Amino acid sequence: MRTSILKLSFMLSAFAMFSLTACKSGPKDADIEKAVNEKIAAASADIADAGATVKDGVVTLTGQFKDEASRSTFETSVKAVPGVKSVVNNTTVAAAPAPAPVVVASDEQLKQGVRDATKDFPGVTAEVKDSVIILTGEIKRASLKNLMQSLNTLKPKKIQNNLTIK
Amino acid sequence: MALQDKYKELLDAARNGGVSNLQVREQDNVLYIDGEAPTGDVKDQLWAAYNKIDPDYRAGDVVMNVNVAAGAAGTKALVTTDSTNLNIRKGPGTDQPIIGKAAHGALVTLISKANDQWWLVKTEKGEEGYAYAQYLTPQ
Repeated sequence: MRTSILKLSFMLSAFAMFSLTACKSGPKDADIEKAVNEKIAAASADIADAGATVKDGVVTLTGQFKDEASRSTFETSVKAVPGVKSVVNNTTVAAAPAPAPVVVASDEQLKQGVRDATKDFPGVTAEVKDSVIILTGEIKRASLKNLMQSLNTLKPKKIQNNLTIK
Repeated sequence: MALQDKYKELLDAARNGGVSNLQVREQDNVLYIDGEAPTGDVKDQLWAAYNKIDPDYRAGDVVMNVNVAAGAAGTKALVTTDSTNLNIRKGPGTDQPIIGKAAHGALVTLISKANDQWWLVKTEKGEEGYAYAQYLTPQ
């Protein structure tokens, strides 16, 4: 008898809790959509052609982000909106811009730079043709790195090392 | 991309060494690596990695323009010639007259950078002129 009363009271309280939860209505889809659209407006610098639809607490995002970092930050912030159950992220990330082409120095600039760089290496002859530095002659192995380091700062197209290394 | 695979160890060293403004570009079968190394040690590591992959730099498929970040005016730089004095010149070029010398191992003060090759410096004796950057290591 005592146990069945306990059981009954437990069931009653569980029922009460359940009905309370059921009665308390969460944010409506329209409210969620409004909140998400505000976030889109705030992130307008990072996203193009943005759109959001909400159904039963599930947010579907579209648009294009400038990079992956802003995309994931935005998804996290949408998940934090009250009432959002999940996010279907259909947004994309813009392709990275192509790197600027390599700019090489002119023969004139290179000749001046090469003269300075080879001054301390009397055995080395450096020729410049079509922005390529061609090295001939001889050098000590210990000095090679030094010479190569200075030549590499001159912005040549390439360096052809035909030196005899002693 | 083939060259980036060949020189992967070098590129990893650049990334892990904290090279700033790092640019890696492949064009006409040459790999161009540009950036600024935080210290002379990092630059040395890069050149060691380069020499390991391409001994004596024979392949001609890399142009690595990674210099030690010079820092602001007033930075001290060590004279890192092999053993000789470093010429201080009136202008940026070996055709310019020599107006002073900085001893091997001495410190000079950086005033400004004329370009990647020539820096305007002031010696401990107060001589002001251009020195070849290859022989200066910012401290």
